[in-house]
Amino acid sequence: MTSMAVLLPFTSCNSDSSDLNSILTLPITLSYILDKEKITEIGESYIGDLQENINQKYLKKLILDGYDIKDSSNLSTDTAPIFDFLTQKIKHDFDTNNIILIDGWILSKTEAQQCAYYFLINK
Amino acid sequence: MHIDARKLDSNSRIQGDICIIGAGASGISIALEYINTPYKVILLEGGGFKYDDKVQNLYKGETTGQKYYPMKSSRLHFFGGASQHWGGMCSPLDDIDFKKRDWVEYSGWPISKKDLIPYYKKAQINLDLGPFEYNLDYWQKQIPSLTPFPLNKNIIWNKMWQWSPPTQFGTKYKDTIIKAKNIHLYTYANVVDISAIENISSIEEVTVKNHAGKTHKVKAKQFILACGAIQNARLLLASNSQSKNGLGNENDLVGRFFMEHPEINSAELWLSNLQSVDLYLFPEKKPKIRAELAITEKTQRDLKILNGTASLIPLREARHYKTNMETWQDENPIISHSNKRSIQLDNYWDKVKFKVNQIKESQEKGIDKAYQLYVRMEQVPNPLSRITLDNEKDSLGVPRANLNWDVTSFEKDSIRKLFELLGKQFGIADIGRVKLLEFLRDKKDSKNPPYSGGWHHIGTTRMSNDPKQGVVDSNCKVHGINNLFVAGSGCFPTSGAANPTLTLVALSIRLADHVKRIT
Repeated sequence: MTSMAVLLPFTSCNSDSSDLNSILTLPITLSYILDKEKITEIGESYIGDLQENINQKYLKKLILDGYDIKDSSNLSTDTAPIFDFLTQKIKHDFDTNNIILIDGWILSKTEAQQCAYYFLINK
Repeated sequence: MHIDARKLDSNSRIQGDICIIGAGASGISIALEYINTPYKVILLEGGGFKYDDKVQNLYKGETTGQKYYPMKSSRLHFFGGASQHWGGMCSPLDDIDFKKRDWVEYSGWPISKKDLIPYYKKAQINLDLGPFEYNLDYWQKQIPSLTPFPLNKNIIWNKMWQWSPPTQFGTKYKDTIIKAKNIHLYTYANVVDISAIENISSIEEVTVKNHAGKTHKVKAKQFILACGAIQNARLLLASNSQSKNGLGNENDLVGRFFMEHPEINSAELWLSNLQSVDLYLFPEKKPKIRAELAITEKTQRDLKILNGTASLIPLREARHYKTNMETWQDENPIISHSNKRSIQLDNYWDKVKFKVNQIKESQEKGIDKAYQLYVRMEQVPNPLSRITLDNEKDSLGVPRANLNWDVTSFEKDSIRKLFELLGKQFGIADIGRVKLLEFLRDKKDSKNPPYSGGWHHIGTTRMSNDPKQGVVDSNCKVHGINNLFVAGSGCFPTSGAANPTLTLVALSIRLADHVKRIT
């Protein structure tokens, strides 16, 4: 499993963010393509397009939907399985047409939610 | 041998076995097949060996519908024809292009791709191409470093192109044609009328004129129209003294179904990691080959879309290019084709701004792994897209040809689906993301964008064994007229996604074979 330190092209500007938040706000492939500003813009557009109020808690739940939390006390630190889970979830999104178009970008819904989470955390 | 028709006594009578009207890639390819045969071949070229604006003016006409290039400049009216200014891109049509597709009205050829294979191989030689190999596997064995994107092969495949130098038929084959004893090339021999016998079941002669005021008659056993899709249709429509709708036009099909390739920058591909894309970029070294991303037959069926391909251009360069439709707008084809596609800056402050933007762009994250995706899409056969005659006549008395380029929304819908599919597949492969350009983002927006075309003129005398569906039969013979044939891309019932030159040369060689057998 590739080290997460190598895979983090940028970090949240919130100095209190946990490793978990870093993983949740980092759509991995997208973060190799886009800078922070563009990730934020995508996140903001995603929220703007929804007809409902979204908060960080709700987004976190959406992003982690399907993740089997066996021991929640380790959630904040034991992020490697979450990283793997999200990588597979994004691939599964594309496989099953769980895709969204934001500002022209053809994205997995999960990675769009991650962008939105990043936007809210840094707002 | 070569004869300048301006120097003949007027009212000369010229006679041969085969009369080929037009000396472009099609006409010359046919003539080459007759060298050292017992047949006397009359090859008629309306221009000379070089550009002549007075002759080129004969091609002027109006365009309506989707914006198109000037009629005068999208073809060349001298020996060699449009091959004297083409780009060299060659690829055969795909199997699906020949098939009847229930989601594409008027689709289906009366021949299959298999029927053309022997002729494709010969066409490769005429066009100075390599072997007739268009599978990626073959080229990977020649160049092991060619690496395709790891996409699902059942959905996306790599369609290969080869580059001709480009072969300019007028330059390459001039001496060969002139030295051939049985080929009689007449320059400045514009066909202005085709005359049939009384019941119009066969052609008796054609009338030829030039700006020196000379008129001649040409008789032959077989006549082959090879002036390009626009001019072939024009001549059939204009030869209307015996049949008011023109020759071969009992079912009002001549000139209809004009097709081009709607081409346009459509999306961006941003790769997440640096990887070799040499397979997809414009080839600088030999062998000059390239792949474009294409959709498999099964996926086209499932999505009910047209055939199209996407090519890659580094985004950093592509952002500074103008489109062909913007660039090739001069009525003089020599000027048009030499116009630069890169944006020209005359003003000092524009140059400063450009430099500043270049520096900003170089700092843009990921730009070195970003590519413009450019589509070449098949145009759906559409009877409203057509060549018609104008009331105005050219300086030799032939009604001018006008073009109404009618493009439906099917093409745009297919383009959108193609790039959505690519976006999905690149996502599954997790190697990058696709960003649609603005004109594709709203599915409800069916307004056509400003497509370019490739100067590909296709479909105006389409092929079908049913005279109610086509102008020519599967042997390119005009229905109802036993010695009149049409050569070239005007006979294609569908356009496919590939540039037409390789296929039109193959079809022309096939036609030459057929006419030899029956003469």
